[in-house]
Amino acid sequence: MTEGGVRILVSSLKKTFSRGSDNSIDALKGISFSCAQGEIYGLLGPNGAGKTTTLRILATLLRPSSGCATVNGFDVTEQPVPVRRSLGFLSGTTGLYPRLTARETLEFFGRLFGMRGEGLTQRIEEVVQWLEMESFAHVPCEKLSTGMKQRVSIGRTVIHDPDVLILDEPTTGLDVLAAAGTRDFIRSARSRGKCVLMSTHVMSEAEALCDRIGILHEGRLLAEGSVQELKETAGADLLEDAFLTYIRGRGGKETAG
Amino acid sequence: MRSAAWRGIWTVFRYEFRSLGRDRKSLVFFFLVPVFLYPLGFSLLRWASRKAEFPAGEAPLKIGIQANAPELRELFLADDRFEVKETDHPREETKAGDVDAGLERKGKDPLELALYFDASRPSSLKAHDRALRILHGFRWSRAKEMLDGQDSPLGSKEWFRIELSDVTHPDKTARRLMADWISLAMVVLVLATAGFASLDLFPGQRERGVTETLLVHPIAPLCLVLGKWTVCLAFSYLGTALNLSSLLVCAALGLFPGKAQPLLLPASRIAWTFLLLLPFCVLVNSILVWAASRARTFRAGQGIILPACLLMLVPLYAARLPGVTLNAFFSLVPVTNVALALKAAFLHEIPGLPLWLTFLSNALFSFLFLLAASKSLAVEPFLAAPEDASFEGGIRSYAEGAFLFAGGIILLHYFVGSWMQSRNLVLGLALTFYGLLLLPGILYAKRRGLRLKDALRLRWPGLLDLLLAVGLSFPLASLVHALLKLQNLFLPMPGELEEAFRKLVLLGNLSGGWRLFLLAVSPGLCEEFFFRGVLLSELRRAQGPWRAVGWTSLLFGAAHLSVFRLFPTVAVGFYLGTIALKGRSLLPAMACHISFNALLLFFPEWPSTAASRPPSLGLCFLGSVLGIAWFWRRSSP
Repeated sequence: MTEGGVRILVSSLKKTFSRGSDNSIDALKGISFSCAQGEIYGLLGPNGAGKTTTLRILATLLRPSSGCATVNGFDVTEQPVPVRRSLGFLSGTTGLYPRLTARETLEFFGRLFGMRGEGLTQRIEEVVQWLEMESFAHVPCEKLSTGMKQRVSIGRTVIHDPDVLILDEPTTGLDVLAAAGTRDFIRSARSRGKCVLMSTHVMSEAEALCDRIGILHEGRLLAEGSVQELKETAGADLLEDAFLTYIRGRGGKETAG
Repeated sequence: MRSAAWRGIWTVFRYEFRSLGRDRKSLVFFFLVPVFLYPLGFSLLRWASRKAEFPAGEAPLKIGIQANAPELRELFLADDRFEVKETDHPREETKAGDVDAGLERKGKDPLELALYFDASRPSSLKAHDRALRILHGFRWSRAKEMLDGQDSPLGSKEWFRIELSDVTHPDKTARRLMADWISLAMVVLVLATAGFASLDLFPGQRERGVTETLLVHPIAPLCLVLGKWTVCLAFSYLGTALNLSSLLVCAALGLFPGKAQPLLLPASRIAWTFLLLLPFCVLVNSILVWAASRARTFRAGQGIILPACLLMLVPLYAARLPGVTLNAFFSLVPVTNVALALKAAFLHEIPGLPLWLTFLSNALFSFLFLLAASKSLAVEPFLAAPEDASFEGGIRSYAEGAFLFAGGIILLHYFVGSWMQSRNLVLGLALTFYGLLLLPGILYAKRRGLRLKDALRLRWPGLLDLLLAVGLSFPLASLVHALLKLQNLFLPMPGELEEAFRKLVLLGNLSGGWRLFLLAVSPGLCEEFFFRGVLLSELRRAQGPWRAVGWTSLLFGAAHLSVFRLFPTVAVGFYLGTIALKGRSLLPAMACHISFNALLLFFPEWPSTAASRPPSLGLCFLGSVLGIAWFWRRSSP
């Protein structure tokens, strides 16, 4: 169990991509934040800000160059397997097997988490009902619409009922209905006590969903706080204006409120 | 067609071609692998087959030649590995075992020959291979005579044909045929099925985002690779087994085109075929899984898998060489071992120990490849954010552009340069140097925005440096001569090639001044400008100085279009590259190159005299080191 219900803790996290001795890119320049149980934390930033890199480090896909990060109390570098068991990761692409049906997909990924027998079958039914997938659960994924694929992908992410959800731009490329469905899922995950960390560059989405937002730019966390706090600190009426103020100012980290 | 349509076509071509040309891995595999690896691989095979064919101290083979073919008799009498017997019945004598092979004219046409051999006798197979080699040499000399417009002793301008006739008992011939045919079919089918599966499961899934999804699950990369590999294995084994079964059924029913008779293979041979298919599938799938795991996209995967498949055909070809049988050594050579085991299963009994070694070595190689595949799954660059991909692009394009350009120029040399020189040697040489090296080099430098004077370092180096560079050509000539002698131990230069070089330097008895201009000054200027100037400058920007010198040396060697000259020319390229790099100017390298060629042209005996004794060779080596050290010291800040 973690202290004070904190599920994700990131401290002075740095990541440098090296390509030879003379060429390197500092994707993250020492960011720190935390996210608690029953909270939605949004990483907001333009393309190339370091959002995906942060999420990939937390998902154990990349190793940090320095600093530390824990998920559910487990260190992402030292204890990758317990970290993976604790989280559900939704990447930018749906990452589905085109020739497997929705139900087979859930079954396959559930088995990768060690789920078997009646428990797995029951969980699959729960997820299918929760995400309203009954009508297409038997259809191969390649024949599904983008919104349906996203629901299968979400189902795959939550099949093992993780405490932490990491979602990389979950509504990108979806139509209005599908995006609304995804947002409903994120809210319902919060109400079930999950810790949700998501990245986005859609202001309205961040404003509608996130309890707290971190503004990330060029590998630095420029500001952090609730939507209201960010607006007040920047002296702006809209989140978009506040965001632009922080980005253009390029200041160091300042905690709103 | 309207100009807008042409513009559209041009635009599509231009950008699609550029996009394709930026695929570095494919460029390396499709351009550099054939240029370097195939000549090297086939030279090694040639060497291995010569070793297998002509062991020292072996008694000469007997060949029966018809009395009415005196020029052929002379051809074989000149080869001390043959004992020639004049006979009127070469076919019957070969069949009876009185001679190892027989040769006769078919009908009245002097250019239609028949070569008889008995595939069930190893000595006859050897005689067949040697005789073919001699006849092919004869055929090439005929081709050269025809190109030169010379009269042939045979009088006709037509090509001659050789009909190969195996006089073995039909049963043995069928076994040999089936061993060759089934091993070839097996390899092609396994490569096709395994290639398809590994492409879909590795780069295909990586592109669809499935790999990333799988890696955030609590499963070790090796387990992931093993799981996918078993899919590929099952897919390729079943696919190949079904295809082979279908082909065998066709053979049994006599469905093949022509006059094929039904051919029912014994059950034991079929069982061996399917048993040996397993270790072969295990190995091929491991290699292809490893290759596919290194690709980031499906397209990149295709660029890796296809050449990997082609490369695997080389060891298969080795198994078909005469005299190569399954033994303890060959059981450790992947692909070759299974093809040899299959050959043995059809022709005679499979030796026990080599068969077990074949299984074991394939298992070991497979495990190593799978381990490597699991490592490459975890390599961060494959998972790095897409926005980082542009980072390498600018730097990489220098190298890609230079390699593509050099590959194109080498091909131009091969096709256009050789053709021009065959039409008119003097004019062809001049056009090759100035039209196919200097001019494209200038145009490329202009296109890439290189300022010739700065980028190519065309600055006056000082008289002392120039004199030293000229002096360095003397030890270089002797070192190259020593290298050639060393090379002759494992890759002897054919006599015809040496003769061709001797003729080339005479240039149809042109005056000394013209020969100096065409064979020393022109290559010194143009080749240095192209290789140590344009290419070295471009590659240095992308790869650092020493890797650039290494690559330009290899390209310089490849541009000489002969595997027998590859090693010495690469060495010369490296020597000149070092002088160009450390001389702070291209001119010393040009001076050294011109002087080196002039030395070989006018004093051809000097290098061999200087390299004849170890002390003088040592002095040459020391001189080279000291001379280069001088340039090195001058280049230091």
